[in-house]
Amino acid sequence: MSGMKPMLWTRITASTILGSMLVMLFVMMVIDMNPKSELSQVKDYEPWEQASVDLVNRLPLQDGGRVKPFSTHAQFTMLRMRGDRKIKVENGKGEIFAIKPSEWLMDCVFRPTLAVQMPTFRVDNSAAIEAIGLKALGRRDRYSYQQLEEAIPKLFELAQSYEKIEEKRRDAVQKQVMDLAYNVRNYQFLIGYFGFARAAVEMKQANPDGSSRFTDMSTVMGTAPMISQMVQQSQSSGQAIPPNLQSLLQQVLDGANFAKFGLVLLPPEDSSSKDWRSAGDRIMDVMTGKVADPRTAIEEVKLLETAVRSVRISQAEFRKQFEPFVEKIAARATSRGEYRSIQAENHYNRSNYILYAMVFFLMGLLLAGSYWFLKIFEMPRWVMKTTSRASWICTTLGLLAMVTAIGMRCYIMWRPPVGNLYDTVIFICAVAVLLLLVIESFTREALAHSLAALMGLALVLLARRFEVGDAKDHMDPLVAVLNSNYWLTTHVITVTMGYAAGLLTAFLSMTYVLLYGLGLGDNLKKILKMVTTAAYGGLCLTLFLSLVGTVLGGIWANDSWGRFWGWDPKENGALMIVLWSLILLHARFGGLVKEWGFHLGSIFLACIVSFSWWHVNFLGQGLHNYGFTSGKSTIWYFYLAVVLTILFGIVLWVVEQTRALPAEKSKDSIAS
Amino acid sequence: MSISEPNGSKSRPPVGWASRCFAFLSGFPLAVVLMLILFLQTWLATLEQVDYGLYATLRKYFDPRAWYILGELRLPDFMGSKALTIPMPGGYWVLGLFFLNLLLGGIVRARKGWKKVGVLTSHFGILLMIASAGVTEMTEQRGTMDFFEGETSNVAQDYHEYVVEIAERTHGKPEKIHVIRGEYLSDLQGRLAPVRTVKLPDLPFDMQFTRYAKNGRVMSINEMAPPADTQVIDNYYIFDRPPNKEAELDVAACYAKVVARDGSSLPSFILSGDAFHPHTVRVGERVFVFQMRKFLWVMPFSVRLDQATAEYYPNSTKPKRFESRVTRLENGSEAMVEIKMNEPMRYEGLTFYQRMMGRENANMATSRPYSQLEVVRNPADQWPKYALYVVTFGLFIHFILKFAAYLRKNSRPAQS
Repeated sequence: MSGMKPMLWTRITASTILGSMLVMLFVMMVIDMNPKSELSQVKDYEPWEQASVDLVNRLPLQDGGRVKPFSTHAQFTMLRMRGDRKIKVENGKGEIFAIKPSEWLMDCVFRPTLAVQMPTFRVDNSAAIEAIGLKALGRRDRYSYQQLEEAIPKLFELAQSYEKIEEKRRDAVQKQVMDLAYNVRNYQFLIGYFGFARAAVEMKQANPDGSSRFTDMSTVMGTAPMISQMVQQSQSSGQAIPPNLQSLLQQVLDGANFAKFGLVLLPPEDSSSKDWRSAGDRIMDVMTGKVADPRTAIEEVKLLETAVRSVRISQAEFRKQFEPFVEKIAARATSRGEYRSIQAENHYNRSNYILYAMVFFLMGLLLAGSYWFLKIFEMPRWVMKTTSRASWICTTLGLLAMVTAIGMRCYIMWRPPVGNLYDTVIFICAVAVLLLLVIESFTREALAHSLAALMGLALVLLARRFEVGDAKDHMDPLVAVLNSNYWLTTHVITVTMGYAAGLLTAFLSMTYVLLYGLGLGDNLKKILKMVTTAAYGGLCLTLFLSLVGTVLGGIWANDSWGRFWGWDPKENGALMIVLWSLILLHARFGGLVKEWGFHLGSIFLACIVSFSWWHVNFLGQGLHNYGFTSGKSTIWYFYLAVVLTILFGIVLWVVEQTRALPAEKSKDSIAS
Repeated sequence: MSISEPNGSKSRPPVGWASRCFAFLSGFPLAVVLMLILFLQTWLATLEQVDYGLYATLRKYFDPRAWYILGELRLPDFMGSKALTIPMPGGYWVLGLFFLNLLLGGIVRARKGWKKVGVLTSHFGILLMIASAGVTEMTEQRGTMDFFEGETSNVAQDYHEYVVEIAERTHGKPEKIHVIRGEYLSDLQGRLAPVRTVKLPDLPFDMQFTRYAKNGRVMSINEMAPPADTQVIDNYYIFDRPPNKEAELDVAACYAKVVARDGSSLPSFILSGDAFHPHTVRVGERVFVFQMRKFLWVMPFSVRLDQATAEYYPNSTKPKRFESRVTRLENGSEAMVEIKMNEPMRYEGLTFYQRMMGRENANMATSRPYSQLEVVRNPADQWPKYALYVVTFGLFIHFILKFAAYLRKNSRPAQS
């Protein structure tokens, strides 16, 4: 490490690379905290009171193969349709409200006339809007149901025709049209769900004077045996079903059909049955005589009718009417052992530990930046020490928030922490930050915890962006072959920790290059040596975890389908990490590369880990393929950034070599 | 934990060609180069399987007959989607040389001593792992067993290998089945393939094969005109299709001819894996049937499917549990076993895995459920597990020793 005096251009380049990374993080954070959310007008909008929201959130429902709270279902339904978790509305009186997922879904099902005015549908390609015959607002924009309503028949017609095209061959517009149609269809199920409760059933010619009588669905359900008898009588006598009865049956069928999907919120009374029922299912169960004792079903529908109608009166009345229903459902779910984690999940949704972690990491990073700034200008020692300590505390609090979030997810899912890609992001974040804090405890140079804050912030942002882009509930259960707590605990956790260690190692080596380029401080040599030692330790850990994790995966595969090695892209990616770690360690031991070569190779590890962890999902091959394709281009920018850092490192190394040569020569001449 | 003093550069230069050869084969440079090639091959094979399928890609990269291969790297869309060709040695031989290098360098030549016990142990574990891969490659047999509830089977159908079955038809049913394995025919590919005669001493004739298509379709000349020099039999010929990405979907076909002992031959005929009926030939007074089908291997015991259970998560199509309750029947004794996802049945060198579940037809109420088990015979089945224990132990010891040395080194100035 001779000739370590930096030059102006190396400082400028290193600052540019570091600055670009920080700016990118800042931009990502701004996007994350302030998603494009235009103010839209919803006339006479009245916000839900917190007590109403809390009450509805206590309601469990079945979705994605598990029982979850209303709040989770609302969150991911809104993300899927709208692409974020907030809508800002103005009620025509100058009052502005921010509507969150639970409130949005409550509007959809209880107050659809207000909901249809909200810009719910995100359209990323305006050509899709033009294709269905509407005038696009912007290239990427959001539309309300009201705005789309007239074009919905055309939308469904187009989507149906595109369905025949193989998925891989569909172009961007076709994909967008199909997504929009899918979302609109699901939305219709939501806004129509309580249609049976809002509108009365018309019983034609029911009064002695021949006029119609109006009644509730639950009342009609109570007369199901009588209706069934009348239908049978008509059929046995060979006569058509009377028009008034036919009209009644049609209304029942329409009401039940609209309430069939959207919210599956009624646990079956039969404890052996796992499938929950929707309100529509319950109506049809009674009307078709499927249930021996229809009283419970009728009572449930009656409670729903009363609650839905009470929304028009006041929210206090709504809570009064809806509470017995929630209590009833919660009690039954509890007796079935399916209410175990509902409150915990509501707490998880409400508390938003990941957001807290982001804030703490940001504070940690800002304080760390201040510390290094103070250090350059040689400020008093106590000021630097306090700033550094504060940064460490913030980063540690961020880690605690992450660990709490992961722990809560484990409790809710009742499985080990990593089962899908989202889980890996937050787990890698926690492991990487923890490892860096451990390194800090050995080195005490304030560098490792500064890096921990930076890495923590970057990974939390990635997790949040991925959650929004993927819009899937990542706590849903796993498919049969993956559903093994033993293997999830051993193989998956080990491999994921290997990714964390690999990224951390690459990150440390990047730090080496940038620190060298910046050439700041008196004890640069000592810090660089410390970084090298830490990177070496990181690489050893990467090798150990990746090798053990990969082989454990092979053993799992061997137990699952008899192949130790199936050449699954994910397996291959892990093997590549192992091979690259071995190459670097052996090249170093064999004297083929020295400190610079080690670090440059170690930086490249970031590309390999990203390929294995993230990129293989785009290949659409193998068991580990998560099937998403969004954000494909972002990874190329990441590769580019890594390659540029390597190139910068190569230049620095060449400069160091050329500087060292004259020094060696002059030493030789003195010696001779 | 310092890397400032590499030990490779300190070794004395070897003298004599044997020593030089040993030094080369056991050296770090060779190890690094071989691992780099393996790294590159793993990466390229990962990318290529998207376009060509897994089976074809692995055959290309790790075929023992391939001394060299031409790896293909397709550039991303924004770089023009061009394919770059990268020549490199065959993966099978690279792995073989790597095994030798590791044995010589990592065990024989490596410094011995208690400080190196971790490295030596982990090297030994890796050798065991590569050896298990080699044994698997050479000896593994793999097939499927399909049955409905209540049915019993003692055969597994091979995934890839098509064979020609010849049976004499006596008393209205085929008996004394003779099998010509696919390995005798699979090289007869291409229009200029040689003629191969297979001697069948137990039968009154021999067989002659002129061409074998790995994935062939029997095509009528009315459907599509055959290419020049294509053999046409009764207006039909074998049309070569590109291999499927999932190689088990390939259907083999070949031209065959019966040659009597006196040298006279009967007309040629086409055998195909997707023919509805076997081909019948009369030789003298005897009737023989010929068909092409996937190889069936017989097991030393039978398995009866008692119950097939497919459970899904409520209100979803996401599979939760696949389980086959079977009875193993052997020499009059019965044993009940449950085969689940991640819990196979291992018995007498065979392993049975739960592969698929289904129903006879769409009617859930009346149709019978069936189960497909994957049957594997692999003597090295459990070797990777033992290798893992060895490697983990070795690496753990090595890194703990390194870490302890680092801590000792760092604590010294503080003590002084």
